[in-house]
Amino acid sequence: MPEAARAAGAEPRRVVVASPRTRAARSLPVRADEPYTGPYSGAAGVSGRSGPSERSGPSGLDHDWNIAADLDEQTELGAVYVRTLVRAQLRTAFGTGGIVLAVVAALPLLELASGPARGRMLGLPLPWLLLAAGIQPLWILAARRQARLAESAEHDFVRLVSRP
Amino acid sequence: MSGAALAAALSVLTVVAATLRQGAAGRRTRLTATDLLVASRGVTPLWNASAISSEYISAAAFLGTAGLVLAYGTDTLWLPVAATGGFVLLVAFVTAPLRRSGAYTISDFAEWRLGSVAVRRTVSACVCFIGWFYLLPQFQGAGVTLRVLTGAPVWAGWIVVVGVALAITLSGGMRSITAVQAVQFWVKLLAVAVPAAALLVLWRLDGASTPAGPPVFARATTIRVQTDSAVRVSVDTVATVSGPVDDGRHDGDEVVLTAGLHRVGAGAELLFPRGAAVPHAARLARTGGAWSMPSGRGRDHSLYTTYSALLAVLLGTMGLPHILMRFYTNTCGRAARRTAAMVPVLLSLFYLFPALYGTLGRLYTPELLMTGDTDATILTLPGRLAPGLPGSLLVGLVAAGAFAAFVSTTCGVVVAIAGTVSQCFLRGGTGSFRIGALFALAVPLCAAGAAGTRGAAGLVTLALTVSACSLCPLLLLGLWWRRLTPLGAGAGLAFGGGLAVVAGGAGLFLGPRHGWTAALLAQPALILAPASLAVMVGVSLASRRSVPQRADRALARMHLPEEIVVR
Repeated sequence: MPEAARAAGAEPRRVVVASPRTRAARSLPVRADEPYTGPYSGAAGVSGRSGPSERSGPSGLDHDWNIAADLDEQTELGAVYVRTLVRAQLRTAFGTGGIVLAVVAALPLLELASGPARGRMLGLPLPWLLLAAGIQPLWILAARRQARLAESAEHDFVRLVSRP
Repeated sequence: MSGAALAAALSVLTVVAATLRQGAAGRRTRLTATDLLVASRGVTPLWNASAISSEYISAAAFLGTAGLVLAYGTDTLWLPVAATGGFVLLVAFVTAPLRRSGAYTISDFAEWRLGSVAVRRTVSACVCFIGWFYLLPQFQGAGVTLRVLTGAPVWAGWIVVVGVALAITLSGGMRSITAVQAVQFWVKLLAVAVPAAALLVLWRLDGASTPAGPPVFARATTIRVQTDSAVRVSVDTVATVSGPVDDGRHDGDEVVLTAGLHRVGAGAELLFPRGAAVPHAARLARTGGAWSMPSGRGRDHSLYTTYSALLAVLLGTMGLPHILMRFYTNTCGRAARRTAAMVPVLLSLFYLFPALYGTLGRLYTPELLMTGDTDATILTLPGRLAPGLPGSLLVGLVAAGAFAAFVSTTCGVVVAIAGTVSQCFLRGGTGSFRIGALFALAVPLCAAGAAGTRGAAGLVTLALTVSACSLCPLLLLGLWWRRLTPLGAGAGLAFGGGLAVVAGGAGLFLGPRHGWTAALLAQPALILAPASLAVMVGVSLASRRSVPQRADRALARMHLPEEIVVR
């Protein structure tokens, strides 16, 4: 747990997002292993950030095109990407929400249906045990599952965007 | 009981002193508004989850749950189950996008997302009402605790909590409070867990019986009545009475209390023999014989009230302003999500214990059903099972935990209200933050008298209902639905929040009612929360021309991982 906690507590790693064409354009004037200081240095940006003002470089060509720029500039394509992600995340969230609502809605019904029949475990009434300790593990699992699914969706998205 | 009172007083002092010292340690030499408001960064998810759980474990959770279990039986355990479930919804729908929006308070979020100052004001008003309703049970709990332990008047407890909360919030602000809260969670857990373990051992030695059927006095018990009250006797019971009961004054006479309602005056002493059925305070709904079975309470429209309360707790947890602020302490959306996912673990651990106390209370402290002080179950039980010094020490420990609960929740709520009020209505600054803190505490202090003898758990549901009907729909739609408009949000907030506040106020000030009106006024969430969501959606669709221009950009920023930088 502390390991994960430390990992998550740290600043998020920034990924340089660039398309193959960008990389090709960048690698033209200088050797690839040297820091690039050419005319496009502001364009692709160290953090994958590119804005309209920075993009109007001397050539005016779309050498520095990438999805990150689309995302940033709210082009139609960028919006489609964002919408896909939001929809995927919303689907996961609805799944979790459905589980939670179903369990909570089932509680009173379960008790009504089971009637006065009562079992015992460890000398304690079964309904007591179920409510005091039985449901909570379900919540813990649901929360973990949700966090894992949402994170992996984000991870996939970052990979998609930074795909060469 | 004086030994217990002394131990309790000492432990309360220790908690207060430790909290103040810790608060002072985190304090910077020069206070600026930013220092007061901006939470320290780089807090790990576990640490922050402890702080969040600590703020969430209020008087209602600490005292109220055990009281409910004592009075109404196992079905009230649904409420903690729903509360923990609320955090699962928080993980799913709120934390990560809210953190990525970069907004500190929910008012900031509303203004940033919808670009409207009017909506910001409405949200701020909702924050205030939720906070005030949330503070009431803290005051109530502190009052009951001090009264049961020392015999002090109820307002003494209110004053202690208000004083300590003011001292902490004014000296340190959020920075120190994160640390204070996180430590206090573990203090509270220890404070319930250690006595619980001792009580379990004693209970085993005592024969390990479980409560079944109507509660009876396990031994001859003297009850000293402190305020005039009405009690309901289920079967004819003989008691030795001194003092005013019904219309006569008695002086150690044997009196037959016939089945039905009786009035007991302040100062009366009643001695019940072993095995006598316990009379119930009339304001507690009748508790049936099937106590350990849920659904054993005989209230009007109990299925509706049950579902409504469950929904209020479930959704209300999503919109609690002081909890939402906490996630700002995380460095990124992912950490915020992991933090929220840890909270159910900590809460489940904690909630085991109130259930245990309530159940044991049914066996060993049934007289609380007659005095109506069911919130005092946790405080009375150790002294009853372990008389003498060990019992006093355990009571002291529990009292320390209880005060940690009142103080931490009060501080969290006060910071939330003060921050919101100072930024929204007073235009920021340290001075206005302080005025905001005073304002946050003064209003519920005035209303605390009206809360009367209501249990902490019932009071906290009022706050959760307002939150479920106002901020919860706003968050859900604001975070996920592009087409929310300022008009739609404002209309939904005013409708849902307004009606919920009115219903809560009516419940507080108008006294008990019967039938459907009572059920609707007491628990409106099942109808109001979906209705307020529907109003937001409907009005937004009707005013679709005013969808904020930046809606797409805002959605991108809230949902794209931090690795992809979007302005």
